[in-house]
Amino acid sequence: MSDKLLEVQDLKTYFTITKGVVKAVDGVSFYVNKGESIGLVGESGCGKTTTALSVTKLLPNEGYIDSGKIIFDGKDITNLGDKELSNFRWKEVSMIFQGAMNALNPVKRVCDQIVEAILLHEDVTKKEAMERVKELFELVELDTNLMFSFPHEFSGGMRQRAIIAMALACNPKLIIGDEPTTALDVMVQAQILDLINDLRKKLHMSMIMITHDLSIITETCDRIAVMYAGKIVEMGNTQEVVENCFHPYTEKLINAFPNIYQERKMVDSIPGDPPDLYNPPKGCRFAPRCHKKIGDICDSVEPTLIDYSGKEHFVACHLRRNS
Amino acid sequence: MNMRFIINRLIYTIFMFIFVITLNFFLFRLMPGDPLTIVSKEIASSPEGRATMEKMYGLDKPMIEQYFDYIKSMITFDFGTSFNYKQPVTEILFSKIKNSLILGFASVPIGIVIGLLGGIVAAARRGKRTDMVITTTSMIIYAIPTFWLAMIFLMVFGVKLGWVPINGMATPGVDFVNNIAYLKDLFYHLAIPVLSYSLAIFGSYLLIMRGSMVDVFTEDYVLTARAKGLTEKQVIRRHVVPNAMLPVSTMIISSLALIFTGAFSIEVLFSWPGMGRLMIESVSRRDYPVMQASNYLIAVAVILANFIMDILYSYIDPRVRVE
Amino acid sequence: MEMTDNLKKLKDREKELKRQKLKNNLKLFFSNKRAVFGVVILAFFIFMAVIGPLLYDYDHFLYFLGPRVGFPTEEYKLGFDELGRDVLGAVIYGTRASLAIGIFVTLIIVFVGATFGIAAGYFGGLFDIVIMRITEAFSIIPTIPLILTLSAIIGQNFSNIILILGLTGWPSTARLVRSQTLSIKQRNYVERAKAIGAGDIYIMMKHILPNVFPLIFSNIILLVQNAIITESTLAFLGVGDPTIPTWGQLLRSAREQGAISTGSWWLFIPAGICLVLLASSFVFIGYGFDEINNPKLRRR
Repeated sequence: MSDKLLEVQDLKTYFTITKGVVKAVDGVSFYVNKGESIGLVGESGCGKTTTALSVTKLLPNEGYIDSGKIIFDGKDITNLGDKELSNFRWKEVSMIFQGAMNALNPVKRVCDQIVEAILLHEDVTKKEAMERVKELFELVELDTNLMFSFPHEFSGGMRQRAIIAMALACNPKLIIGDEPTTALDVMVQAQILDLINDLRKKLHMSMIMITHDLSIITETCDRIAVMYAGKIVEMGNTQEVVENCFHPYTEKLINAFPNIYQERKMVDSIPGDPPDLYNPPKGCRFAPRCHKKIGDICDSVEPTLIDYSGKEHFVACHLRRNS
Repeated sequence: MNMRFIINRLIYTIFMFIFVITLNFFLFRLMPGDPLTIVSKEIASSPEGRATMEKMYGLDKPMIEQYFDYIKSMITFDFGTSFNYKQPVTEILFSKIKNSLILGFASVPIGIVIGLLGGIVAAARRGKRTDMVITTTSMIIYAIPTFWLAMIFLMVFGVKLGWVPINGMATPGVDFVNNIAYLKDLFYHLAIPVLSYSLAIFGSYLLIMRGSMVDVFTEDYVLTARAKGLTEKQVIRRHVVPNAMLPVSTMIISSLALIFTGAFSIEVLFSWPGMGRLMIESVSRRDYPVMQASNYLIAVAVILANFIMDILYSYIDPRVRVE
Repeated sequence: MEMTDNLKKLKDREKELKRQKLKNNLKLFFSNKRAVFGVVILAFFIFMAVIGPLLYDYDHFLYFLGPRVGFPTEEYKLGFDELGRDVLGAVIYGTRASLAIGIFVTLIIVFVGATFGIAAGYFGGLFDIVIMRITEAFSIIPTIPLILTLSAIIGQNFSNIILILGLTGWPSTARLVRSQTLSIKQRNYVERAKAIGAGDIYIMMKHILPNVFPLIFSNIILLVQNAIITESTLAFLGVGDPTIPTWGQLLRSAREQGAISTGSWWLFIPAGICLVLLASSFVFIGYGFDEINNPKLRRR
């Protein structure tokens, strides 16, 4: 019996726009083991959110999965029908969206919205669902008396907790958090991250954490996948990757975060702009901005993700191939 | 319920009320034409006759006194006698309002409901052909002057096809055998006016509802609702429509209040004996008592409707309730 | 000097960006088939208003050119109205009246409404409260009886009608402008302008006004449509300048002459169609602008 909860194989998700097709995710493969958390990190527009939306099938109308397979708990969910999709969503995989401040319907009570999710997937009475909401509130450290409030009566941090509570309502196997703490101030952010860590361990849930903030990943994720321009460029155990990063982009990314322990110096930024995904460059997509380019091969041949060290540390770079 | 809010609104409403009737008072004093002559040319032509009439109508008193008399009579609904009809104004108003209400309540709800439904459908299929057809059609209907459309209907259905009578509210000179016969006759007389009136209303409702729905569709909580596993229909019904209705609800109360005003051009065109036609008649014939009374009633209806609307709105939009 | 060089580069870049944005918006607008259709129709009517009178001779005071409410003939393609006037001529000349009313009423409404709206939104406080109360009072009073009363007071000639329509129509625009002003007021450049000591009038004219305008553009277009239709309704109800032909008046006289019962379609169908087409064109264009400003309306 495989340990893998989610396996994404060569996923290609494209968007149709007026002038053609944008290849937002172009051949992404990764897996998430049961009870494990993986962080998806990269610049804005690199395809992390699209990947997540592809897994949960919540792509907007212009988006579609061109090819690839998504296998969840041994079952191929790439082409799930509507009814099965309805059952699958939230019960197996739930999501916390970016800017979740507004993820709650302003004219409905918070408890009613969570109850709605529960009643959709579990065969219980409304009363039992309400009880569950109480439990969930306690789980996320929210005052249960506030159950009957409306969303606007909550502060930002409280709303976030409520949304986490809602995401956990049906005991999903996998929870995907898309920048769940970006809109919060640092103190609240720390609390929420602690909460998420605790819950994960308690409920033995898998998690995909999407963010551009490396520090969050180092705090909450077992493994890390670095994305650039619709592809994964490096993937592996978080500690391993951060300490011994292989890909030049990862290196730049890590250096872009100021380190308290290092001496004070200007933080490096990455020059240039991300490539146009409507017309992606041939060869390695990072090549135009890469400071460790080794030559023509970088511009003409696309590197593939390979585990060089044997320690499940994958990297897509021609540099490594030669060493 | 928030008492402060209600009292606040009440005070405001009273001020509005005083402002409007004061405005009315001065407006009518400014109109050209000698009211006394209109009542009775003969009597007014002689100086003694004039003096007597002035005393009778209180026109010899100073302006301030006249003003307070006016306010008193308005509040006690003592409207005097119509110059034209030589009947108590109150009686006239009652019968006319009744007719306007019949026409209004037969047409306005239909127009609103169809407009809202159309807006929902168009928004659900936005960007597709159905949307294009629905929206363009309602734009054209919205642009058509109501009375012209009514004229065409009259000519086609009334004259050429002879299906319906072409004016009035009831076939003149007929004594109805029983209520059923009366209702049947009324129905035929109502048909085209109702058709025209509801078409006049539905255009703006459709367009505004569609706009509101489309705005709501892009909100995060709609994506959350989908992620929870709700079908698109459920999402629309439970999350999109309730929020989209908020701005529309104020319009609805307005439209209902305007039923009391009477639909001017329709009543004139169809010789429907309602408030609208009465008001227009009274202006052109300088029937001051009627003009004053009808303007007053309409102001009361609209101001009252606004007050109710404010209170009701705070019920349906929980965000407003706090203050 | 380096400072002025950089400043110049910034300004050039800004101009370039604005030009790009304009080009994109125009492209977007013209890809909206409905809006383009509206523009074509509007152009046709403008043409008719300007060139029509030159090509076709019509004298509004020439009565009895033919039988009263007379059938169309070879020469007078749309027949005759109740005074024996040429209907086709009235329709053509009516275009000018409708466009004039649309434009001038809207100008008044925008001028008064925007002034009150920006003042109320910008200064806030008592100013805001007073202006908003006046606005609400005006919007509470049903317009048509008010217009009827006002027109009975000051007379029914053309300019008075334009004045009345303008002065009764500004409240909703004022409200809209005020809410836009409130959101623009918060923006950075306004704060910065204040910080360097810019006067209120300067800020209102140079920062707020130019930014409010694009947002109310579609509303302005719809105001024109509203003015034209309201005038026609008023004319139908009997309020109008008898010396200037408008489509609404044609429709009124058609009804008074029993055109419906006699089936004399030429008296009211052409004028009505013109009204519908002209009004629709404004609605299409107005909503076309709406879709540019609010991209949500376009996508699925």
